[in-house]
Amino acid sequence: MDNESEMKDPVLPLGRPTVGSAPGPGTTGDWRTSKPIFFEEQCTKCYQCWLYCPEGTIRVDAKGEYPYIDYVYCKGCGVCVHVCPQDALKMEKE
Amino acid sequence: MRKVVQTMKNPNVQLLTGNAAVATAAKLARPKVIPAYPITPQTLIVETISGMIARGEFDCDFVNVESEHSAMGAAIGASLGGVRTFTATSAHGLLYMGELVWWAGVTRVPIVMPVVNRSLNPWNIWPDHQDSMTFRDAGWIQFYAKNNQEVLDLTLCAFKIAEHHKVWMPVMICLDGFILSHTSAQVEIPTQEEVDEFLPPFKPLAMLDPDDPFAHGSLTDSKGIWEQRMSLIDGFNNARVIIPKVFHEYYEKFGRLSKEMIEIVGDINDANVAIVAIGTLGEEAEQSLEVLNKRGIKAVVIRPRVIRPFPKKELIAALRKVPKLLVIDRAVSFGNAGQLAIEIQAELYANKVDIEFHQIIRGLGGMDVTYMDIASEVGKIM
Amino acid sequence: MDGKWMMTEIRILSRGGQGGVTAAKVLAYSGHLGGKFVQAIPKYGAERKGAPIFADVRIADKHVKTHAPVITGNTHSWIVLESSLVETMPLDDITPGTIIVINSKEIPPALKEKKSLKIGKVDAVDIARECGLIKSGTMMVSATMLGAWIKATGLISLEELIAAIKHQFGEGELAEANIRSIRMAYERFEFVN
Repeated sequence: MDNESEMKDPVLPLGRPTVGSAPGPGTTGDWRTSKPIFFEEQCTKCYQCWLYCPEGTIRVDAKGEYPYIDYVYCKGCGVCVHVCPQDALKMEKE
Repeated sequence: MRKVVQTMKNPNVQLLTGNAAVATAAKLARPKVIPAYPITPQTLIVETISGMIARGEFDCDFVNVESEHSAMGAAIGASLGGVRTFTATSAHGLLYMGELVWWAGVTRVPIVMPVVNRSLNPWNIWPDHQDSMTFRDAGWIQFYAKNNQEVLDLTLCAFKIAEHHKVWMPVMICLDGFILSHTSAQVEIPTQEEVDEFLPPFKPLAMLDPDDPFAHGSLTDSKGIWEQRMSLIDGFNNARVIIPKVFHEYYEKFGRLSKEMIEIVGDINDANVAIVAIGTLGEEAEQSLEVLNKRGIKAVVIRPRVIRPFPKKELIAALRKVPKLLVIDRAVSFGNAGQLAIEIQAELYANKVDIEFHQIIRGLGGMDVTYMDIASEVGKIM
Repeated sequence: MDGKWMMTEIRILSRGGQGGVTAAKVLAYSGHLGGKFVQAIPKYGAERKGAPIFADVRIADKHVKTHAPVITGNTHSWIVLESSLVETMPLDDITPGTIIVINSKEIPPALKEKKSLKIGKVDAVDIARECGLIKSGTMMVSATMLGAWIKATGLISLEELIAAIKHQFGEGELAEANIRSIRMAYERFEFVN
């Protein structure tokens, strides 16, 4: 024990965000009662929905592409519908 | 080993207040960030350091924060950013930063922080150990200094111990307010070169990096907390080994401190009674030995200079050699007794040490405790 | 203390703003320059202009382990920066032979009766005024009184005190004025019994 190399190293509380890290199976999509539906023709690609989504479940693969919703993790909070200036998103009962 | 030569010819010996000794040690350790908020009797530390930085005497960011809570917050951020970090506080300031003192302690952030001991409510600026004792469970290593020289010595060691990769936890150096902080006494100041040899540059164990982001201390489940708490217990066990090693290195280099976490003054093999006290009360008790000797009482002073980790093994080994014990506390765990007394009693029982145990509480709220007072308390139990 | 080593304990009585705490530091520094182990202990709390305060100095042959204020019965000497402060002194506890150096034109009546003490005076206010040691309307008599004290006790040399003054105030007119006042107090101090 007096030998420094045999001493245990500290366990530090470091963490990285990972997909599906919520308790249980992590698929938070099944918490939803309503879901946002996306209408491409009205979208101006302002990406406000992407910016405001509190869970990062609205994705944009590259600049200039349309955003899309990952329904496996979307909790259905409706923030994206609320912030969309073009009404390109609507909530619909599950 | 080097001997301190007390003459005009030794320019390294200077007359310093305890606060100036802290500021000098901090400067020699070359921290990169010091966020601090002033509070009596710590104010002169902040004043002195901000002056040194403003005059360009050392390269460091001094962060003028709006409170102690922010001071510790900024210190945690800076330390996680990968630099040596220092702050200082006292009493109510320590309580106000309390939440973040625990953050730094149990999430392992190697900050060095002197606490200039001052009594708590109602308003009182004078010394006792109630403030720092309240935080002895917060996951910080705690030192208690007996004089201005030891303040400087322990502060320099604190950086090396906190930043050891097998320890990696914050250190509090406790010094009695006014009794040390505002009293001028001689302190030998090592040169910058000597300190640089003793204290290597800060080597982060983990460092926040914007290009590779991770979070420190985010929501942790029970299992994760358990794992970290067990690791902290291991860390303190490691510290039990590392602290004496660093003290010994310091002794080899500078001729002060010893490899022990406790200091024994007097002949323990021939003593009728042991006095246990921390901080300046420990040195005050040393002065009482002469008086006691004249009264035919052979006493010895056992002074833990480290309280966390608690130096159980060393204390028990020493206490086995004496028939009687007087523990003097300068703080109280209300509803029980002085903290030092409680913890020593537990060890005496666990180790089946046969000793006559006495405890007193003295010096709360800055009440003077002289060596004559200590001698008369010892006299009462003989 | 005992025959093996000496520890001299000095108490400085003053009113807030007179420089009593600075005097303690300067006196301790003089001892430091003389190769002694020293402590300067200010008593904080009532740091308001005019409030009675005290500061202690210890000068010893070896490292001083006590941190408490001086024990009244052990004091070697007292420096009183303002004469009405005599009323706050525990005169009955002070050991016979203790030196009292007081800033006053006259010895206060309470002190006159204490024949067992070695009492001396100097008019430091007059000297401070002559030397221009006036700050915010107050005569700064602290350094001046140290000049009287070294004359009374001989424990510290004039040179050590002057070097300590320069350390405290730096080179310049302020230090020079203080040094002039120290020399004048050294000349004018006299024991009255």
